[in-house]
Amino acid sequence: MERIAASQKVLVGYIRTLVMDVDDADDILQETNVVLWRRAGEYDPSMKFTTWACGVAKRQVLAWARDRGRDRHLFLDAALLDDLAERATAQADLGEARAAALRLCLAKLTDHQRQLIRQRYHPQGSVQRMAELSGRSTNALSVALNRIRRKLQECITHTMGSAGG
Amino acid sequence: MSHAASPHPDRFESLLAALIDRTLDAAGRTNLTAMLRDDPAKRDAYVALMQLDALLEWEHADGHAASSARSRTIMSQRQWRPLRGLAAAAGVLLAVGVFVYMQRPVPIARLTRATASITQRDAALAVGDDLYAGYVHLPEGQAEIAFASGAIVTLIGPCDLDLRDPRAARLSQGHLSVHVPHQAAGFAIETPAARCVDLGTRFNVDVTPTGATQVRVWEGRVRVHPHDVSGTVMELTAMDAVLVREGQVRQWSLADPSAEEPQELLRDPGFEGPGDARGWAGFNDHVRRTTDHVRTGKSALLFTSGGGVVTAWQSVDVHSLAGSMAIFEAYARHDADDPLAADSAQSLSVRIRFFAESRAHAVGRNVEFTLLSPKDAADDYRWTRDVFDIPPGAQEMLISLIYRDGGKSTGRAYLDDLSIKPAQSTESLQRSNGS
Repeated sequence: MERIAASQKVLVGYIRTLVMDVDDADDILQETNVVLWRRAGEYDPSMKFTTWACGVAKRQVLAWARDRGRDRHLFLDAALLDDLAERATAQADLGEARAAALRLCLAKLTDHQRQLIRQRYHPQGSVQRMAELSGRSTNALSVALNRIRRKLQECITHTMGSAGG
Repeated sequence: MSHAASPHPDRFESLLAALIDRTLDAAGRTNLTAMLRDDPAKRDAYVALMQLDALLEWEHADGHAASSARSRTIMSQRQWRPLRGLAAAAGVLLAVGVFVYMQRPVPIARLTRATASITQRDAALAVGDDLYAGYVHLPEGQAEIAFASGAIVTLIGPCDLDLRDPRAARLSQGHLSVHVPHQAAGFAIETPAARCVDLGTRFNVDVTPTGATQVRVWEGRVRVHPHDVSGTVMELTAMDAVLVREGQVRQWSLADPSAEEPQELLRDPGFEGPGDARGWAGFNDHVRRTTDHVRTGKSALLFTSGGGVVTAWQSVDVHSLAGSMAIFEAYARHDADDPLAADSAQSLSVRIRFFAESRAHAVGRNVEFTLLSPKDAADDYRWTRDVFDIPPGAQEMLISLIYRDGGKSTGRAYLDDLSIKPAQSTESLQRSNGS
């Protein structure tokens, strides 16, 4: 059970990678959690938990796409989906380590950078809201945030050494 | 809109940033997808950034339970949500304990009957199983689901039903027969075309692959709210029926004597002949009438291997039926002495196409039903029944019977009692059971 809780942050990223839309990804995460909870007995400890959980999530993504294919455009062909799923699983396996590295790297940002990140990732945050409050355009904010994200990414890779990927 | 063979690297970056900050439109998403497809080198960067975005969100979800604008409350249709913020709080065990407690899904229905395989989330369900929110798939046969509110829904395959909560379900495609006792009044079935609210009744809902919806009420009252037809609410009572498709509504009475006789549209649907089956074309050594293994009458149609793909076909004038629904039915079986080869791609199917004016102008969507495949038992006739749309503008309907032998020289299949009738009739899917 605590493994399911711990894997949430990694599963969110994994599912979003495959479906792009955040609301759809949230729905699929819920479906995935039900399956993980009900089939916890099937997990084979010789496999990494995140690998197994991502496999379950991928099947839910495919089932979701099949169910709603008529209502929504399935944006990934099978080959691309499989390839992204494989890369995302590999990254997911490093999720815990990355999360720890991220905390260290956030501390290394300037106050201003940290504040921008905090405003964007606050539970009610969005670039739209930030644009309204600051008068800057969503584009400009997005560019600024991306620069910070890039910086964090480099820092995480550096912190984790060659395993950072 | 075309993009250069090697897109400017900044373009990819800005699309990624827009996606992550939720400002990317559909065209941008298409571009981004194309870039990922064309250049595998970009994929790791994409994956890494999506994960970082998720980790950042997690890191900042400081204990807010029903947090962001898009999140739903714990009491939502989906019954529960992961409490992301708690995992970041001090005390993983406390978080886990609350997580497990709050995450415990509550069943909204139970499977009470099934004549064939029915699945949810790719897992086979057994009679007596509790059912949670999500789609159930019934490719064929019948299944009965009792909702916690008291409503009882019979699914007739092929059917995909999204269980929402004890008082609601969404039918994206297929057939339902619904019984709602008075204590469960208010139970609703949502389809792509309409919302049907049951006020203590018995009714059927059929939804075709294009979302066209037909409701037939046997007892009680049903309120139907068509989508895309603003301000219209219909209250149907016993023996009322309505068809909703693409913003148009057609209502009729099931008690109408002129609708009593469903007219068969096919010529010689039972392949009785004389001679080669009258009205059907395409006969040769591999498709012919036979007096063996007949279901009704004196003849059936026999398909034998050796021809790759063999077909027989018939054309029907459907001028007056354009824009309505039709019911298709057929019986097919293996030859027990020479069944379709196991593990092969052999199949017997029917394909229906529509044309306007001449064969050159196809209209609407093709419909194809598989009648028989190697996995079907070889003991008796297998029944297939479904509804389909006759598209607006259709003048001719071409029905093809297709036997694919998968390159095998063995395998024989029989077809009998084929039928296509307009759906506007008193004939009830509920009353006619699968053989």
